[in-house]
Amino acid sequence: MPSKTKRKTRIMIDKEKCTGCKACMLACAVKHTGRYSTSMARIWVNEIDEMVVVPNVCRHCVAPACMRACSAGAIKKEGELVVLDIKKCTGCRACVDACPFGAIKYSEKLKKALKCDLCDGEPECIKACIPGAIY
Amino acid sequence: MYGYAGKILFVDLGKEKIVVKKLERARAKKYLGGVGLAASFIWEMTDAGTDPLSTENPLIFVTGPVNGTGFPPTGRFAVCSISPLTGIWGESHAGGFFGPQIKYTGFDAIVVTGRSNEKVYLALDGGKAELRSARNLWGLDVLETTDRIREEMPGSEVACIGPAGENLVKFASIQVCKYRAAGRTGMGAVMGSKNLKAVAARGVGEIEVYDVDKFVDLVEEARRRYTEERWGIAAQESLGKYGTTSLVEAEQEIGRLPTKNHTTGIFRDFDKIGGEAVRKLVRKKRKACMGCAIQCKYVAMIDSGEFAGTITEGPEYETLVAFGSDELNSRLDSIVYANYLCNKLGLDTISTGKSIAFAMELSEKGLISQSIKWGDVEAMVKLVSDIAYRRGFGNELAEGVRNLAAKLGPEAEKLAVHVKGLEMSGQDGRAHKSIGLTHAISVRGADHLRSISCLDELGYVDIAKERYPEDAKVILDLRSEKLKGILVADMETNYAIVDSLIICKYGTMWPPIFYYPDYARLIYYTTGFEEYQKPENVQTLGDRICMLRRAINARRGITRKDDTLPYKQLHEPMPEGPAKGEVVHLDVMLDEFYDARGCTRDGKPRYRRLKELGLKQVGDELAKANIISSEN
Ligand code: SF4
Ligand code: SF4
Repeated sequence: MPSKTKRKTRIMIDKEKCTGCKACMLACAVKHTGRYSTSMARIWVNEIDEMVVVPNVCRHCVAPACMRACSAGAIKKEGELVVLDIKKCTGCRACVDACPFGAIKYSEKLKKALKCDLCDGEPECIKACIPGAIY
Repeated sequence: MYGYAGKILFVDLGKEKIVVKKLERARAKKYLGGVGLAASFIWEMTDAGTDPLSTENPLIFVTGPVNGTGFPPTGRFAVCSISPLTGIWGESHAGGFFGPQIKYTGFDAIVVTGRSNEKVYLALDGGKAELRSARNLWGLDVLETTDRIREEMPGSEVACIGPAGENLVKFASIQVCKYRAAGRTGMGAVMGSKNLKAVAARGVGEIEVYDVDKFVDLVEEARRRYTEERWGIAAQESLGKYGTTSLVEAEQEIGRLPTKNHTTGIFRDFDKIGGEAVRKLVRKKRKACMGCAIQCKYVAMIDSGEFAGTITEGPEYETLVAFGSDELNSRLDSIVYANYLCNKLGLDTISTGKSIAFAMELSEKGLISQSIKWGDVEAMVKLVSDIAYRRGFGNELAEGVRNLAAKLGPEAEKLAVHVKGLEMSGQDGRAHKSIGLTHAISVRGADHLRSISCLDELGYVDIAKERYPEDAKVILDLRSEKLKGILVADMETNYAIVDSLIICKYGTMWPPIFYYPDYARLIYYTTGFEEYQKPENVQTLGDRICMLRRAINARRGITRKDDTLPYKQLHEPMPEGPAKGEVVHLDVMLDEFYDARGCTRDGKPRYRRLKELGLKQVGDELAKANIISSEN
């Protein structure tokens, strides 16, 4: 088992292990909104076919494309994290288009971007993942 | 309302009318959700004579307060109606991802009545609900239908019927997420009779629980209990690694593996279709239902031979029995293929396999003219399609074993393995007395999942001692009828809660991780209903749901004479194995069960007990119809 206590600077993905259960999405949503949903999660799971399910979440890039694309200056590099300041976000979706991994989603409800903030280094999604597909 | 979406969708297909109603707090409190909630509607919307395939019979897709939250597993839903296979209370459950989507679209339940003039499907998209044409979908199988609808509604979860449901096969399933079946009691036929091909849901709603901090802690605790320490490790080592398939080996060991149309409990080739064989030969990937911490599902693939290339979510234990041991078929690849066909055509694997096993025995005994040999893979595969399309002899089998046996006469009836018209699931009361009682008294027919006890089956000594400190030894005795009425009544109450929340039987029966005190915390943190902080009130709630379902059946004429078992289990001693020589002595267990349940010895709900449970009106109605007496 990978250590669950050390502060994370990145979420690693082992898609072979992913069962597609979406526990990560539910854990993410409740952490960030206090409610359960899949629409407000900052991580999500793409079902390609019976055999392939791929969790997707922000990589916290060294040179983030999203940051470069954001003209409102809402995305910043803070240490190893890439942080979205929701107050500054205008909902223009430039970051959504720019991210090469498709790791930012646009929330119709908030009219803003949704992005992983790594839960202060202790991602809830990792705690929820039974087979260890994210670590 | 915490835990709930708060609304119920009523769809009258004949009038093309869609009405949204509030889920009343009082109703939610009284019946919780899931089968409890559905039973309250079925009681109100049907009567003694409601024809299952008529426009009046409601088809209810229902969730519970836990569905769509993070509590493992959260993906379940139930579908309830009067069953066309049994003519009584019908309920069927499935996991996957569909249930939560119903809630995210804003509804706790969908109540469908009427019959559409056109073939339609119901689309729940965001907050909207509309009927769309299914003219192009009718005739398509489950896999195609799901793909087509998902092209139209990317990201939606789809519940649909296949050709079997369209053709009103009495045990047609409703399939969700392609491979998960609400299989039992013919809910797919009810859907077909309404000209409703599918329900697709895609929602952006959110579920708020009453005490989110405590709830999140409880989720974490549940996750630990499912994965760590004794029971958690046991769950991961069995269900996590093998799913339910390793039960083949476990049941063989206690002589309870239904074989040759439930003639015996020993299958010589059990190791060719058991958990180890599945793991080695066909299991390719672990899968799971939404938010689950046990994760028992898997993808099966056939690499070579005539069924090469078949890919499906894999056979469960029940399917391995139905198409394997019970048909004397030791070819695992053919079982996987039959499972795939059932998923694709929308058939319950248990009833389908068991009907074919029945046909094999009828053929052997010369009671039908067709030649269908034990273990004949080719005949089996052909019959699965023939049943779905009602071709030839398949058309006869499509009516269920009870109807076919009635046509053929008393010799055939002795071989028909069903209770109340439902083909029996993969257990045998001769080797495990409490399951005999469970099959006999189950409100939906010969089914294990309403009240199976695994304490005696799998030998959970510590849990038996905890729950029955004085009587653990007797409770644990597999082959003794003693105290099994009390055990089974408690299990029925327990699972009525599980099926109303709705969570899974895994973790509540195998291994037995959760019980009333756990549900009490779960219900309270989810809904905030104060009274359910007390485990005894949770138990009363479970009793209420059990009795309401029983009242629905009593109104339709069910009495003690129907709470019985197939001839073989009552009169033909188990021929071999650890349970050699055993039959089921049902009467002593029935008396004890009825007493514990609050029924008369004739198997009908007591007025007194109904009143105690807050079901006085139900009692009054039954008394008025002279079904029970208000004196009792
Ligand atoms: S959102 Fe995309 S581009 Fe931006 S840091 Fe994350 S992965 Fe990199
Ligand atoms: S919790 Fe893990 S296994 Fe489940 S969907 Fe997320 S990454 Fe996959």
